[in-house]
Amino acid sequence: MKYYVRRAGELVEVETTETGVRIAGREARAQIESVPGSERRHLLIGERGVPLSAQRTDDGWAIEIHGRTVQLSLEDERTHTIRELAPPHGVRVPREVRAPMAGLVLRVEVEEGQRVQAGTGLVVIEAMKMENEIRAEAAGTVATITVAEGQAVDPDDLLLAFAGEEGE
Amino acid sequence: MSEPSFSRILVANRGEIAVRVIRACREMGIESVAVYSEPDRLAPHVMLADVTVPIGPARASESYLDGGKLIDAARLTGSQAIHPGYGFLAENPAFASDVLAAGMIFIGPPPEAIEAMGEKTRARALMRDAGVPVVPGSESVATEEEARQAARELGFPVMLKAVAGGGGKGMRVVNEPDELASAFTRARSEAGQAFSDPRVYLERFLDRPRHIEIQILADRHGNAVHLGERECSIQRRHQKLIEEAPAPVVDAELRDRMGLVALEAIRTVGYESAGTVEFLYAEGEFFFLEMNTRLQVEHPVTEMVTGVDIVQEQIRLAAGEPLGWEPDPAWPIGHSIECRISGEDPVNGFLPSVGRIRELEPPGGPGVRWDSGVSTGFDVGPHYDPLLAKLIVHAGDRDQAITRMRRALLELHVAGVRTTQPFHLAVMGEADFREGRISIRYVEDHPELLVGMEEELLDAATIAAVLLEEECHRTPVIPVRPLGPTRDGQLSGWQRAFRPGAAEWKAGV
Repeated sequence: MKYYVRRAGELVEVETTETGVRIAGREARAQIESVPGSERRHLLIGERGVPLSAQRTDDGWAIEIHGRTVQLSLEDERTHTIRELAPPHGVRVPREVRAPMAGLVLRVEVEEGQRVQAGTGLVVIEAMKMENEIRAEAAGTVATITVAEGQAVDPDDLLLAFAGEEGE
Repeated sequence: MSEPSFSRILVANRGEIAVRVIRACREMGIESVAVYSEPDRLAPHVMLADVTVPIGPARASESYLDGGKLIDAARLTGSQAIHPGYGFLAENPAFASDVLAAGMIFIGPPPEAIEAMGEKTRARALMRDAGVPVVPGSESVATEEEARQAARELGFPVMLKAVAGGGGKGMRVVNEPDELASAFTRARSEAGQAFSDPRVYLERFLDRPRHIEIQILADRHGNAVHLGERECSIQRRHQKLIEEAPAPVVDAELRDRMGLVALEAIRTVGYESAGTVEFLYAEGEFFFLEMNTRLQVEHPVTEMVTGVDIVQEQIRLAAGEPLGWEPDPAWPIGHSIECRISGEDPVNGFLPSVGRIRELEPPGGPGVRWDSGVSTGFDVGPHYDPLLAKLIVHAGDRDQAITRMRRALLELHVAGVRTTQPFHLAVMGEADFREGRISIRYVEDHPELLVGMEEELLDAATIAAVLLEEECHRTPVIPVRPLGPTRDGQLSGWQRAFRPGAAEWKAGV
């Protein structure tokens, strides 16, 4: 699978392979072992060992090597594409939420009139046998929901709209 | 050694130094009493001691700084002596007097000696009178003309300092005569605002001096020895970070000269016990800075190159035993370095880092010493000094000691709290440090130390994160198989069932 990794302000594409990873175009044999009951991990890149410790974070992993911690946020290819298609963050609060891809509405997770926070799950669309949760970009109140569970949608179909008077 | 002189000693401190003193007691056959504040109830110093006494809440003023409680605890436990460690009440003459008045022994110098050395200006005057070199300076200067006269006598560059001073307020470096007028006005106004006393004086400005100090031991029978020097130039905001012995610039002849001056200094104030005379060293000259009338954080590097247990000596001397030995002319043997492992994040301006130590694995192997006040599961709080542990190495020479320290730092594993570990690693690899080109401005002279991270390590972290993420995704699609060995013979059904994520997979079936 392909991942988009954000680290120290830069975006790196990493693809997993049968034997390891392809990072920035270079292929490397790699595997990781976990020490039971510990945050310690042993990473092998080729034959080279790198002891480190790892902790899950909200959007990825915090990896500590010799006392220095790197925060890495990870997106797999699907999530990345969805986010790329969505309107850019913070420019303008979107009033409408549209389908980023073709698929089947699996669940509607909000109700009309419901107040939501940024990041609240709104609609789950199944596409290519994967569930994709569409989340609120900003806080607001759901005004109308225009899809129902089980309904097929095409890209850019309107899913729901937020109330207009909710200025942020 | 003969019969132990004390049967029980109260350790009026916490953290690594309390552990250090308790270890000395145990090796001497003396029982130790630990005192602890509420958040320290499971701290290593408490778990190691023979007897423990709670002394109050987290706030130091109601626990470790409350002399009355400490003396009560000593009385309650039948302790004959109190060891103050460093910090807290270690250099408080009133506490030392109270201990004596309570009929117990204070493991340290007489209160009068603490007092004489405690006040910096008084100590400086005392030392000057005793012929100890101090940084050349003027009396306080009232006018710009007086300042100009004094500067001419001292020679530029000079430093303007507040008479009431401290903490860099009212301090100004003046490089040339032209700068004097405005510097004088500003220094006076700063001093006036900071200390309600605008008086300033001049001192010769030392460019990039080194901090070099002499360890001494003195008994109450008039015997005193020095154990050579330590260099503590690697510091940040007057907090030492790395110490070593011997100092790269000190040879046998200079060591003798500085040692004799230090012994003269302590004779002047009737000193006994362990103590340290600190000097600034620049271009072949050394000047008295101050005296620390206590055990110091960095005492282990001296122990490593001399083989003397300074804490045991301190206890022995406090019991009134004569010193009874002479320094070995072969000292210093090899080279020792200490790195202070503090709960501070060097990547973020050394901001304090608090939290639970989730994992801790100290380094080991030849020539490595780990003096720690914390252990796995300990909550590092904001109440006390951030020093968690000291990593000390000893090797044949300075190069080998640096290599060994680097090796040991790579083995150290701490999870849960950010520490100064990466700072020390960076210094061990830095060319000026390796060549011994250091001064008390080393840290500000090397802002590049922790900028960025090696690409190789960044890539390793990235690969690790991706593989771990993939592991999480992959777990749910392990194919369903009956119990027994799998086709490739690697995982049986029950083994698989205990893999992380197996429950989710089952629920999905």
